[in-house]
Amino acid sequence: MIALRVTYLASLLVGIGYLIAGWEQSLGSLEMPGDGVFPLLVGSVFTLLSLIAVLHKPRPEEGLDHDARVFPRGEDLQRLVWIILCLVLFAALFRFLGFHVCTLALMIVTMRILGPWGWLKIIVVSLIVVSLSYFLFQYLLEVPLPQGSLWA
Amino acid sequence: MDSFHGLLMGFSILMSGHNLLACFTGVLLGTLVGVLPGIGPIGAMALLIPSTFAMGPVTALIMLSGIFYGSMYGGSTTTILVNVPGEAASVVTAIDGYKMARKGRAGAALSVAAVGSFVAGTLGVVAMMFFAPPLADFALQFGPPEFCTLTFLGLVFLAQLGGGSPIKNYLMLVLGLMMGTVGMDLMSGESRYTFGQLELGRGVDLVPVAMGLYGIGEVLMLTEKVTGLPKMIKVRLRELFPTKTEWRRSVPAMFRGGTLGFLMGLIPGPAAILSTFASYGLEKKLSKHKDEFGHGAVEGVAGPESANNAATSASLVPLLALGIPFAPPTAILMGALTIHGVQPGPLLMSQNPDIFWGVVASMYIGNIMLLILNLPLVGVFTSLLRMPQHLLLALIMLLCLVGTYAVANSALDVYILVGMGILGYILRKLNFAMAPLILALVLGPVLENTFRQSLFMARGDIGVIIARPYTAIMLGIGAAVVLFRIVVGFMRMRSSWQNLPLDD
Repeated sequence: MIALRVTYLASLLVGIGYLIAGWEQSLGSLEMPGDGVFPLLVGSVFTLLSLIAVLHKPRPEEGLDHDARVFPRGEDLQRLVWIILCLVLFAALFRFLGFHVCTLALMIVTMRILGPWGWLKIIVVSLIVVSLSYFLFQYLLEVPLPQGSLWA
Repeated sequence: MDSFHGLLMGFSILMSGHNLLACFTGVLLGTLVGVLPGIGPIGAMALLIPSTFAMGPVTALIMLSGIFYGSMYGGSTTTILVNVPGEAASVVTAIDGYKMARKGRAGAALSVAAVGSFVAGTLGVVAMMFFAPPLADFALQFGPPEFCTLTFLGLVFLAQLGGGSPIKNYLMLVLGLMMGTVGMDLMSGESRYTFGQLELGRGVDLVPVAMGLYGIGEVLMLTEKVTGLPKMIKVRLRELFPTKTEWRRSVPAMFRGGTLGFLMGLIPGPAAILSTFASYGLEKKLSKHKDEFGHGAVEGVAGPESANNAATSASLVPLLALGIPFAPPTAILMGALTIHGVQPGPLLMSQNPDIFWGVVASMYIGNIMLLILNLPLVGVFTSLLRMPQHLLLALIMLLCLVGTYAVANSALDVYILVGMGILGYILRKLNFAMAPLILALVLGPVLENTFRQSLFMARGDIGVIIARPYTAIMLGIGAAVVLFRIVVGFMRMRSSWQNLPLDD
């Protein structure tokens, strides 16, 4: 199955990258192992396993039909991609726009993507939830959430 | 300290301060988390770690472990009433539980599940009380070589016995070990894989990884299907009681399931889940009503539900007695202990007896609370299932994002959360297990430090390390397990070749 093969290839690249990135680390001696020993061992095993995985013929497994498509398609895929996009944008922007602004946007967009409610209902509910969370985290629990460098 | 005095101390600790409230909060959240799809005990425990910062270690552990064993109760409720397992450990209950509900015996199924969970959970705590102290005493003889080998063995067991393809499990495991090497090395003070970024010096934290894999990952899986409100079977209070026959058949199943679950819970791996399958198989084999299985056999509910609760108690034993978690929830507990400045290990029981006995006492009371929450109050929780899924998923995402940031005010953690969430989704779809990664992430530093300490102690002489009696035994067991699997695989291949010409 293609997705699985791609994953194994990716893990092979990760393994090689890990080993290369750790090249400078000292190995020390047998009595006093350096920082590089464990990463070298672990990285080598990972790369080797990935290589075996890339080359081996997969056995039939329960719950995974090797000929079937594993990932959703069409509308289901669209929804998934939108949600992932929302999460990525959140991570990218929350320090800039502020936590609460971003969570409000996230809630509104995700509820619209995932559910049948109309815009008005979604906006009202999201405002309530985000206000509650603002109150809960900012005042009750005193967790400092980023207010957004744009507004500062 | 002997068990009797320990328990007395535990109860006095439980009654003091906020511990009783923490216990109730924990089991309540656990039930909630078990009932609702989209978030499980691991995600919830990770999410609540930051809120324990203001508490002492005992209170924190009482609450977090409450979520753990509480979720085993809640999962059966959704499974029986809606045929959607709220928890992986309740998948098996769906087979006969839902069928019983369809036949009008929903109340009986719920009662049997709850009582079985209570009986097995409580007996599990009793067993824990008698098992853990001697084990801890025994482990006091362990030095770094023994801990290194034990951790290694635990991880190998997890990869071999955890179900699914071993190569996938090993890949996840070693990936977790690799992730654990990022950050400042405690022994030498050198930074590894930080690429000059200051924030990476903290390393890859457990909380964002756990919440990403189990929280966001689960949410992404649920976005695939747009479900309306689930069709739920209504249960009236007077219908809650099983008939005499049903009791007669369930009670032995509860004891069998509990015993099996406890024994399996001691071994590394997704013990709770595996024990339910094992118990179901056992009950079917022993039953005089074999044909009922799959159509509403009450033992098919009693056995597995008891098993998963006993397994939960058992999985706390390696953590509290040895300091080595063998399952993802206990890995989270270990993370919590470390954050609170408590060193897990065999010395935990002698240096911090309040933690062990406090948790034990809280589990007795917690199980009683859970019995009450899950029987008469079951209606409260089922009404929560009416919450629209899109709102639930949005809320879970919000909680994950805020909760992650709250751990260390680190934007990096949020990036890790989102990244692991996406990765977790992809890997789950491809049938990779998450548990090896989480456990390796937590145990990697332990493995490495004990490895280096062992070499240092032995002045580089590996032979000395391997020659130590316990180390040799453990390495032998590990080698035997790996070889066994290889041999079985080989024999299976041969027999499939030999079967080919036999076409009649």
